[in-house]
Amino acid sequence: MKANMFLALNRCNDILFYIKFVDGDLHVVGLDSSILTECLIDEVNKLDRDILFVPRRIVKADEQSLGKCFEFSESVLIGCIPLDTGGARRLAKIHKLSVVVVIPTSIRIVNESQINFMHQSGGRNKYIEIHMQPFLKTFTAPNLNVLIEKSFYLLGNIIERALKLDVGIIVSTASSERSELLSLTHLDIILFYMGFSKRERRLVMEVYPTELLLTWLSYR
Amino acid sequence: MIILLIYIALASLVLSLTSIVIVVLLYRDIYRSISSLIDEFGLTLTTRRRYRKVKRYILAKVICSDNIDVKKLGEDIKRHVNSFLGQVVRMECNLTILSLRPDVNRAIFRVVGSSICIKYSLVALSLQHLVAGSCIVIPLRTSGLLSRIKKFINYKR
Repeated sequence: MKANMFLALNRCNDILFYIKFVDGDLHVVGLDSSILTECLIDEVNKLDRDILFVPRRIVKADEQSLGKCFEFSESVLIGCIPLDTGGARRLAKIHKLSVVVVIPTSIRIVNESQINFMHQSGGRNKYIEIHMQPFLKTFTAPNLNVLIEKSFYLLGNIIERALKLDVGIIVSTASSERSELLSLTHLDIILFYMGFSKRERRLVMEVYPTELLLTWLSYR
Repeated sequence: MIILLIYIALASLVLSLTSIVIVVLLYRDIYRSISSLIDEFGLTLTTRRRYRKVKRYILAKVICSDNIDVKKLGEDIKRHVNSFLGQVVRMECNLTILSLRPDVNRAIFRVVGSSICIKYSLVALSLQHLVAGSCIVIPLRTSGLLSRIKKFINYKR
């Protein structure tokens, strides 16, 4: 089951364009909850395909404001970007479903030791979600100060460690603009470039997203 | 008499074992000396191929937001991909557009170079629209045979 767990587009037309042309064989799409209610009413109903839409919300939280990551978690699947190490540790240990989002600013916090904590906390309800678009944006920017190799190395380490310890890890495109849309094939190619085998890529892109979805539905 | 024969057998066994050990220990040195000897006689060019070229075809889906002239589109993609690969990689890899069919949104690319070129070309094709904001190219299939790729030109619209 092909799943793109987060798409940061904020216009119904762009979402339709993505579903129709870019990823024609998609089964699960995660969209921001506000845009989802707006689009479902008129536009998406016209599609003659079965697609599962998952209401998502991405929030930033530090150790004090960690409650934000669990507000309305029954109706929305919340992804949490930890702003400090303490927050990330608490997210790893809490006995609730938690999805830790990795973007270029949080890659220093969500490192291998964080994955170890997630593994030790037990229970299969801790997930790491990598948003690829922000990474690729920094990689393709004409800025010589960005250490592309290092970011790729850290990213590869995170994925490898999570796969090794069987901590749920998913990769979503998180495309925010129509001209910069990424398809799941692009993600597959990038993971292939990073050296992951076919089985590992399937785990990251198909098996774990489905598992996350089932876990979330069982928690509600 | 029998004891003498046993002694001879044991001695030959020890001798063969020591020779095996010597060969194992000196294997690297022997290999190095032989390869340097081959190099000295100029036999490398006949025994080893230094430049191994691979040819691969990539079938890709091309998605544009509005209708653009085919020739211009082909040149645009070529320019963006080549700038994305950079001069150093282009010394080793050659990526060209073979055909472009806007009616079915498909294009065929050819990659010639060493085997790592396929990876480079796939990534360059995937990410070129992030830099240039042009048409989105989604690689669908790679093959060494053009006929096999052409079978898939109508592969899902």
